[in-house]
Amino acid sequence: MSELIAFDHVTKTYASGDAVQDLNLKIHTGELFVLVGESGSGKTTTLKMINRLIAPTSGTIQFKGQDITSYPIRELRWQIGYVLQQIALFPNMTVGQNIALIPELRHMPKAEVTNRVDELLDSVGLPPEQYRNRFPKALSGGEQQRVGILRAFANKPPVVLMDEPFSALDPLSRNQLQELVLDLHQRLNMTIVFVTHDMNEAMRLGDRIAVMRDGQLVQCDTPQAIAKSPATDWVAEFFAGTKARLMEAPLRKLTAFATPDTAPNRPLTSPDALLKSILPVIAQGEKVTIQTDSGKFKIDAQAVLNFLAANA
Amino acid sequence: MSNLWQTFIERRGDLLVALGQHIQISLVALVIAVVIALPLAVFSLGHKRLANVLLQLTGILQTIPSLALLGLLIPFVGIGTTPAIIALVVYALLPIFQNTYVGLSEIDPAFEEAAEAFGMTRFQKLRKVELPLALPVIMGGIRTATVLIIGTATLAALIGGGGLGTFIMSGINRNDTTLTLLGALASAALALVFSAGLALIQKVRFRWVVTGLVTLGVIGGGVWSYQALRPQPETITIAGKLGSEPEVLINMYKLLIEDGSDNVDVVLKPNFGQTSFLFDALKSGKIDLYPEFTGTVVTSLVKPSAKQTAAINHGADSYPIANSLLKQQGLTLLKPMKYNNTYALVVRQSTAKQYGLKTISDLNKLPNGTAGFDLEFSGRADGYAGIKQQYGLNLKVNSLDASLRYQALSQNHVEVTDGYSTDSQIAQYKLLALQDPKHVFATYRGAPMMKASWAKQHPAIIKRLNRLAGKISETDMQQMNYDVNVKKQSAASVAKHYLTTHHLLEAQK
Repeated sequence: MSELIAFDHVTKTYASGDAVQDLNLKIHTGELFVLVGESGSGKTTTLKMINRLIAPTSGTIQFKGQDITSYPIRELRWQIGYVLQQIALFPNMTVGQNIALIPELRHMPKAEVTNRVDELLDSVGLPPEQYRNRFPKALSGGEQQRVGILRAFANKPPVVLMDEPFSALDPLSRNQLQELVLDLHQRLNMTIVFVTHDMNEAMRLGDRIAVMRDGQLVQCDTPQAIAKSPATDWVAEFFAGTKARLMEAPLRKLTAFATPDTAPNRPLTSPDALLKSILPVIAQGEKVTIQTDSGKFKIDAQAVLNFLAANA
Repeated sequence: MSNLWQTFIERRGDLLVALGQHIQISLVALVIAVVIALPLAVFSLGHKRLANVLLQLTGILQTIPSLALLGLLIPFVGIGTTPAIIALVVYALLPIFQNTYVGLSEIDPAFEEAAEAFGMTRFQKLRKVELPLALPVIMGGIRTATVLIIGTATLAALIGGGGLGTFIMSGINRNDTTLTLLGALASAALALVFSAGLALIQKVRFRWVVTGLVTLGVIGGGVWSYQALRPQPETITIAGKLGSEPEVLINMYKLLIEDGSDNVDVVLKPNFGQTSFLFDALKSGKIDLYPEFTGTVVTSLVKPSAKQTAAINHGADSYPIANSLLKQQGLTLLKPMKYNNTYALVVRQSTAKQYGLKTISDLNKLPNGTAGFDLEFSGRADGYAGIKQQYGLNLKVNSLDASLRYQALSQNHVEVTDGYSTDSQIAQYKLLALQDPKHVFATYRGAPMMKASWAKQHPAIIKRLNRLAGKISETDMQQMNYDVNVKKQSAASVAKHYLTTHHLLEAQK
């Protein structure tokens, strides 16, 4: 495996202190690389140094074996797709115009651009004739970020950076979009650098995971290796904590995976009850019904599994 | 209300023209202001200190009272639409600059970051992302500026810029509320229409904006060509020296010039300054004509030969000499009026009656002649010294300050004093200026002076101005100065009154 991106003793210092400290990291061609850490760990700063949105204070970053500062900046950025946490679809442009943005900046023939846009929309289950001319504000959050991802892939760049792209989405959309990222990664065989604060997301997506804390790289390995032998107690806790927390989720968090319950007179369970408290009942093949603001929902074994799959 | 409607029907042609001018001035000012303020705001985006300085500066500019601003501009750019447009641009800068700057700097940084990460150039970022996102705020600024411009453009009328202000100003001038109301309503309606139009532009698709702009361009072109085809009013600028007399005269000139079918726009500049200043302004073309006196011409403006000077001193008419010498400088003095505005010896009318005084030589009839003369007059060869010699007078002379002479005379402290033959005090205090048959005092007869080439181009106007030749006696002028200085009537109404009572205006014939 050849290396696509390499950090060599990279430090970024702000007035308030080091955001990233002496970082050495290699990202291989074709891998889905996840940077995970709590907020303030330096993961986003690390990501934004790759496409030169942030300049390192010291050290060098290489892209395709060449210092990133040696590329003309626009040439570099056209080779690096970018998906933002805030989604940031331009509200003055239609869905189609947003996706076509970079190909058009690169003067791709118009007919080709149109084809590419339709093809991309189709591939993520958004019918082009229905979505092409809509404005972003007419789309749900999940649909918007789907378009945000297409915008980053439209130019077929060798690498795409994703900065906590799903943190603002509901669990169901997040689950679907994680599927989409895995699917696109497999299909297009490209490199993705993905930033998240969610260890579950990291474990689900990452070929390799870099765990960061206070601007330093704590561990960089495959999910299996990290699960098996965490480098420090803190990593073990960060990893295990999410598992434990999952079982402590209140039932209302499973609403998105449950089905509406229309049968009358079924005994109700409080939506604030914890998942672990109903597991014995679920294990016996029973269903649990909760009452929320948006109606009654029944939770069965399938709903619990879907919830775990989305968050594990 | 019916009065308003009637005025509207009567004046609708003028109103349409004024409206066209108003729209033209406003649009030109708006476009220039946008062209200046918008790029400036874009440029200062990355320079916070510069932006603050510019915000302060445009703010200060906006606090200059509009009248003062117009006044300050006149010496540099003259009168007419140019200073009006400059003033309007100055006022429109702040709202456009401020809103553009605020609109651009309040864009969600995520959009900036995205644009940056997608490899847009500075210009692409501006055109595709920043300007469209800030557009509602920018348009808000442009709307504010538009309403401000349309309102302030009414002041253009003050400096010959035309527009709806002409209705407001002439309404105020003639104490005609309906005219003022008509102008004000039209201007308010125009502001509303423009504001609504701009609000609409924001909502509709780009394609419609382009269609709208093209339509506006066609209409604008139509108005423009209508104005171009219509005989343009020629602006004639008349200035006058300090004082009531020149002001009355230039108002007469204005009335006479406008008293015809010619499409002219007469601008008056009363109290313009000293002789030399006016003379330079006339030669450089800043003004077209001003009233001048034959005596002043031969003593200060041209250099008569010794022979000519001698002839003048012996009582020859100074007008032909003055005119022939002016011709060498490319100027011409029209035929002068009747009155002679020169030194005079003044006595009370009662004294004149008592002793039968008519000419200066009659002063010898006074038993105990005490005179109060201005110090300068006493010594001048064309003052008392000359008089004494020519008329063989023997008066007891006291020196009196010029400002006290008339008072001293009216209160019987002296019997004779010096003055000017058209002084309003002569009428005010019931005095009499004695005749000077030996022509010791030089003659100062007034007439419009202008460039000879200008006179050649405007034969009809010259003809009308010449209606004043040989008109207006010393007494008439004294009375008119009295009406303006003492009775506080406007020079315009005094001028009009004289012309009408003497049937010098075409309209009444």
